[in-house]
Amino acid sequence: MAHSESSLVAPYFKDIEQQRETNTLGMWVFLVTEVMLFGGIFLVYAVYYFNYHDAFSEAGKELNLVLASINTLVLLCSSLTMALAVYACQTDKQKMLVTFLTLTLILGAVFLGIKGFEYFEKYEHGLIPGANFHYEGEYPLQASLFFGLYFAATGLHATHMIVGGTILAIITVKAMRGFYTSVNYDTIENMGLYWHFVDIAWVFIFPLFYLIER
Amino acid sequence: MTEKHNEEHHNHITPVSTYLMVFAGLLVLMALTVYVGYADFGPFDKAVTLIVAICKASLIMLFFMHLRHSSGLVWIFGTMGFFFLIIMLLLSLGDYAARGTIQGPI
Amino acid sequence: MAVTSPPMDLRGHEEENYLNWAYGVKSWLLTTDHKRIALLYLVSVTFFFFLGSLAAFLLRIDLMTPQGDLMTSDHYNRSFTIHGVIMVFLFLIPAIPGIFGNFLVPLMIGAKDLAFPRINLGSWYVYIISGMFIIAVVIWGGVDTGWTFYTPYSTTYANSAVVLTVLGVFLVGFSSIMTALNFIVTIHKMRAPGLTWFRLPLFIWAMYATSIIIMLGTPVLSATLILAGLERIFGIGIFNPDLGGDPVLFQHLFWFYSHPAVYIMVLPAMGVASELITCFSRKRIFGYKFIAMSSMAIALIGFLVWGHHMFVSGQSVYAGIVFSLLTFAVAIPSAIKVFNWTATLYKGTIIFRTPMFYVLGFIGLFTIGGLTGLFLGALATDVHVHDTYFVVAHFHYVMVGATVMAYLGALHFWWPKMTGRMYNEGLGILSAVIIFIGFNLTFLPQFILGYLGMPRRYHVYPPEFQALHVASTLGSTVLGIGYVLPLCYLIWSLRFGKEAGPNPWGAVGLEWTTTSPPPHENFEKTPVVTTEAYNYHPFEEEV
Repeated sequence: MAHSESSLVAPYFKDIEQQRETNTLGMWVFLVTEVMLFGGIFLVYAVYYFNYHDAFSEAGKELNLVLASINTLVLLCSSLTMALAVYACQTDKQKMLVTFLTLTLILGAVFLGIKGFEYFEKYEHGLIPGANFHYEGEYPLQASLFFGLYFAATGLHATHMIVGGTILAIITVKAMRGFYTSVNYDTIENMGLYWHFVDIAWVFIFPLFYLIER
Repeated sequence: MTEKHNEEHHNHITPVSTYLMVFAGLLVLMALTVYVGYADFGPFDKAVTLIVAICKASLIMLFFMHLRHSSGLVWIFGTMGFFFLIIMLLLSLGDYAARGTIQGPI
Repeated sequence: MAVTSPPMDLRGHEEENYLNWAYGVKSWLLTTDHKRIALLYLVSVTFFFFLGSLAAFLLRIDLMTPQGDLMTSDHYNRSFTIHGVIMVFLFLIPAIPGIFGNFLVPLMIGAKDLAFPRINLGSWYVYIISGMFIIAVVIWGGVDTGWTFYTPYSTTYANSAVVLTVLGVFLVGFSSIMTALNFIVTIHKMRAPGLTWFRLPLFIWAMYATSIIIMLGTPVLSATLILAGLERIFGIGIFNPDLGGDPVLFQHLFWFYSHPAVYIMVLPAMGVASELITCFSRKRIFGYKFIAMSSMAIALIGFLVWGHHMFVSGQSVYAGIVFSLLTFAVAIPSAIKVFNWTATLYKGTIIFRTPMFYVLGFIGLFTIGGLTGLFLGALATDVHVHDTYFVVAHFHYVMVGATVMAYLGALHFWWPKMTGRMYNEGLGILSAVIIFIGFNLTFLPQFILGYLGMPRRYHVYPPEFQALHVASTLGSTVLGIGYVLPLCYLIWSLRFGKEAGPNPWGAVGLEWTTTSPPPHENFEKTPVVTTEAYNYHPFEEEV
């Protein structure tokens, strides 16, 4: 093992087991706040979805379903690779750990790249709310609202991916140096919890925005 | 001793095969999601979409996030957010549903 | 509770403790010691309290005359807005958890620190940064939307520093969440052996319930502020009726957090009350389990009542009925607590010290504040008094009469533990009495004003209201003096106060088994707890 067990435990914990359980519980408690954060935006979306159903249907067709479907697949794959990374850490398979962490990172970057392209597409079609909003359909006001909520929800999601990706990159570098073993796998596990949550947020965003009555 | 039981609980290592099976299930559900988006279930459209999404989220939480083998304490926090989210949605959407239902001098 | 641990060297002052074990600015600004972070919060919270009070004082002076002659209406709007924003977000929400929660949670459960000490320090820094945003707002000319930021005024028409304020409030939410996460995980995972849930001090139950509310509610405010900010910057019509939005939706989202927020403000105060009442009645608390469960009930039911802020806003009447009924339900656990505290006092050995004066004031004023909340929760009455001074008086009774008095009680009670010094008891009691008188003189007339029809947030009013306003302003002056006094004698006591022993009050609790001030690691050896909380015996000697 790279480090002795005692050097990995903070002085106010009685043993590594307590530290692991504490860190994992901390991440779950944090995820409660994330559910409520995305939930607030979903509430706003739900209210207007019911009130402006036709307008939202129409506006929703402007979204790029193909790219979003690819992105959904990418994210599901990244969840798998993340879960396998946790497995690797728990079973002390260092090479497998680094491989799957790196794969997760790459898939996350692909997701953000595709998303960035999607946003660029919207910009080109004049669908970013604000001064340059240009919409041909029947309900321009409600469409502006739809796209505003679209950018809010996907923007919040992308921000979470960027922050998560940055932390994942740091963890991957540390993993390359052999820092994570079956003794202190909780960091990888908790990174996984966060990553899976961001995947779950997308699992709801995808059908709610992209698949309204096509 | 409860400590030992907890240790076994927490150190459960999900086998790779389980992860792969769950992933396959998620792929199937994803195909279903797109299908449901194009199909028409009448008044149940939104409900079916949500149910499929909830199934996917449940698979991810139970297996990828190891909720299945976690302690009761983690279960409470894992589900707490959704529980209060439903409260927020129900009472707010209830307001919108009930608007205009009472006619009168108000 | 009985504790089996090795006897400690209890001379306190000359021994190494958390204050003197390391010196220098870096050892304070980069500390991860929960006790030092508590003191960092104490200094910053005090600063913001006085800043917010200054704004309040300006309001009260302007209100002495029926004409708006001290400030223009626009400046008046900015003054009450900044008063609300500072007091709610930079004082009431962080004060008791940030200072006493941070200091006491590990001590009360026999731990060496919180679960995540660096996140704890992070929460203070985020608090300071958001405080600086708010100060920038003040310098930039302020914001005039009211602390409630109602749309579409705030998102479309306001000509003030809305985005800057919204950013500051958004940030301080993170500070709250970081503290709450720490408390929840610490209380679950780091209790000393033998310390079961129903042996915990009620202050810990209060901190736990408060933290649950913070975790569930604050993110919704964050989402709301993001959307409001987007609306203001990009002109999207999320809450603007001209663009197809619904302003009441903003109110739903805003109050979904801001109603539980008032329980974030009052639950810690209730936790303090339970600690102080038992110590100064020398009695075990009456109905321990009921008080503990009531804290959790308030946290839960508190999430179901937010619509009572919107009875006349355009919400559907059915929703109003449901929210009104639930509002009556949320009063029940609070009432249970008041009954239990009173029953604790009954046949107790009452000891009149400064903290006891504050907590007795707390019980009475919280009762008045809570009952008037019920008047507001009844639909028909609310139509009459909504947006009047009745509402202003109600929430000041609970936020100032209850929370601030509990805060001051806590400050005096744990002052000797935190600093190792005793304050001047005579001055302490005098200040408590001055504050009680000043507070009632300020806010009791406001109930009458509201009932008679004086609207809130107005500084021009009919001349027949002037007498009550003058009385209120006079009261606020007395109240101000009352607040300044402790600032003076507490700071004075740091240098010249009598040295306090480990347990100057003869209180029961793990924090009183350490030296005053406690050592850096709290406990040399983790204590083992074997009995219930509040194991008081009638005291033979005077304290």
